[in-house]
Amino acid sequence: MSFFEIKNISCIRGNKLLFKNLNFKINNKELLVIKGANGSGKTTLLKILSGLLKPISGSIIINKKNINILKDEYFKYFEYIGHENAIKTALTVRENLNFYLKIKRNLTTKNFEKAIKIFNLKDLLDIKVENLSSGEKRRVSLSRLILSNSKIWFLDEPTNGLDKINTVNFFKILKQHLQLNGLAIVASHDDIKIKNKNINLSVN
Amino acid sequence: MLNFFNLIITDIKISLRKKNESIISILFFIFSILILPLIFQGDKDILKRFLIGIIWFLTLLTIIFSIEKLFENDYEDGTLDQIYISGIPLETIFLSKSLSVWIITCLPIIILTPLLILLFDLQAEKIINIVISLLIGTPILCMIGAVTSALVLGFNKGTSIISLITLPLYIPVLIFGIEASNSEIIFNQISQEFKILIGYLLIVVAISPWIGGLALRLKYR
Repeated sequence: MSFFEIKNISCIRGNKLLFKNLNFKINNKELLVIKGANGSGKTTLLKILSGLLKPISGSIIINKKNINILKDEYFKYFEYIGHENAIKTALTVRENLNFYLKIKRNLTTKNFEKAIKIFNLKDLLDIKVENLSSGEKRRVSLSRLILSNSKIWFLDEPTNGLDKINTVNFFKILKQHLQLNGLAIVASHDDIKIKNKNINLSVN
Repeated sequence: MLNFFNLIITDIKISLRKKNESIISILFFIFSILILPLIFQGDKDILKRFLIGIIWFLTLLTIIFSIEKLFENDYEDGTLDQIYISGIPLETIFLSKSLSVWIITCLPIIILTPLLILLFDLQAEKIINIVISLLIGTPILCMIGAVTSALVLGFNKGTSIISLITLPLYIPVLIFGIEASNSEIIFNQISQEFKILIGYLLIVVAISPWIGGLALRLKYR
């Protein structure tokens, strides 16, 4: 039995069938990469997996339980980094991270220093996000992964805006997460060097 | 409960940082009242007769301007998604947003109104009436506005139609708000208009979080 499984998921958005009867299983230490052209439904699939959208049919099973039964309990299993950074430009980096530390049950202050160090945010901590570059904003957003103690990472184009060094750094972190019994489902156009399963969504 | 206050504090902090956006609606209110003598050509009697109605109408306009995109920023930058998957009920998110917009927009109006009215020689007891009726009426306006804002969230088309549909809901607040402001308080006797306004507030407080939560939930389907 796999830790995370989706069964016969179908989705229609705006009268367009994005995917039909999609199935996959993923277990501890495994990475699933979602590939596909623009508009193929990668973001939608990730939103469905993270409970932000409902599929028209099918079920999502985690740890042998259907997420519809788990309801809000499901949210503590994963950390989702969407296409948008979900950070407030009027706040500083520290205030943004503190905001999420306060409201998200799966984040812990224990790893704050570690997150800052890994994503090289020390000098940016007290700077307003509106003054950061897009790569720096992405690093702030990704730092939530380190703060999180969730087993699953759902990542939508995580390296968007990152330079080469930070992209390599990010994949190292992803690899470490998998080695520590984590799972990750990533929508990405990158050529990911980590051993992975993949699914390819087509536009039609 | 703690999350509810965290959301409000963060919203207030953001609006204090984005001074231009939050101050502009208050400035609109102040300047509109200050130019009234010009409009009425200095005729104090007519001005006094219409002042309360104008204050209520300007309050409504200020709230509509500030509340239009109440959830839009959070929705577009992905924050609303993150708040949602943090497990905070959508009803709580709705209530916190409504309360923060009331604190940011309406509280300054309620504080400024007596000072502005003093310029027009209105009776002191009327000033108290206006402040009390604004304290009761503005949360109603904010919650109706927040419901509208939640309904139009994510829609590119038809937003003006949805806004128009909820517009009649504001009208009773204006009618009874103005009447309550003009009513006479005889010792401990609360006037009928105040009672109706309080009744409307209680209904809106009881219903709007569920409608607002439901409207937000539509985005997660």
